[in-house]
Amino acid sequence: MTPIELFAKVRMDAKIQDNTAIKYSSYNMLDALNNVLNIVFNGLSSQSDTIISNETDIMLTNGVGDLPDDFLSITEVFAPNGMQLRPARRIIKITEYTYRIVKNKIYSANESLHIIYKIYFKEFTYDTMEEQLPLPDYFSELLKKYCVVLLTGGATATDTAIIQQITQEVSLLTAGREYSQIDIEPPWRV
Amino acid sequence: MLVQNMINILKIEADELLDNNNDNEFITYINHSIDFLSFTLAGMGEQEMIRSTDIMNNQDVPNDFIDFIPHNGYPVYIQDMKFNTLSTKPIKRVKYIISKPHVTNVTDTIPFRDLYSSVLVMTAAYLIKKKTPMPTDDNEEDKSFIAELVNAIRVAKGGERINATTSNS
Repeated sequence: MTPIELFAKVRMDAKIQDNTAIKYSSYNMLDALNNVLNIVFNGLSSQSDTIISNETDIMLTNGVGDLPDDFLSITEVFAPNGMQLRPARRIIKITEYTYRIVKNKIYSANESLHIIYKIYFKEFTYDTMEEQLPLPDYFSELLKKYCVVLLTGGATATDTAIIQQITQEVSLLTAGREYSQIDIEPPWRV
Repeated sequence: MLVQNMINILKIEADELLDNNNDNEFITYINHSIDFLSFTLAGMGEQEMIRSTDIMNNQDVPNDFIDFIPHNGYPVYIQDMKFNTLSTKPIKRVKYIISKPHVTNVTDTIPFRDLYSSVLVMTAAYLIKKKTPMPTDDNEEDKSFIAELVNAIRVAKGGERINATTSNS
């Protein structure tokens, strides 16, 4: 789904009723959508599922490499041989077994790294309204619902209640997403 | 509809109270009714009153500009009759309400769809009758009828009907 398709659904909502686009402009809608996406992404970044995960290779020069532009938080770091690296404390020298992230740079004594990280969405603008939303389609009802709330003044993006509500609904949508029925391994052997 | 056509209808509606040879007088009242209908329809968000354009920083505000629609819907503000966007990129598809132009000659075209010609005629006729030394008895009925007409337009556009308060004369 694209933002334009989402806005069409928002305009049809009973609380909005703005098919002639005279109550809310596309800029009002973009503002509301970006605010909701910001809260959703912050909620997803603290969860263990991989909805907003991405992976990439980073070439290091003199032990330094640039993180991707959409980097939000690190999940895992691997050396070229597949060995998982540990984060290095500040007072410890960085080795080929460790890494450190400072601002937008990653440091390690390797020639390249493979990282898995959580992404941050790029805010939508008027020119990018026809690009796909960075979330699965089953988020559309949640996005529509809270865009309506923000547009009608039911809450602002900084209200803690709305942040908690959105985070909770995101959790309900995605909890257990990647784990089918898990059999508990018994502690005894037969 | 041409201005001349409207004047012909207006002469009948206004009980021929104005000098028949002075079309300019009729044009004055037609322009008053154009302003009345402009404000009325602008308040209802009528698409005929809305124009859409891209706005660059420091661009002049057009002469027919009334207000943005929605009022607070764009990252633009006006200062010294110029648009300020605080950006080098254009703000795209900004919608604003316009005022309709006045007419000057009988050969001009009324700047509204024919659908609205009855409202213009009734309003102009009411204004003419109101200004005469001997007010006609049906002035108040004309005023009520215009209000009903505007109400009907508002409801047709999805608005709520406004009930006029009645007063005992």
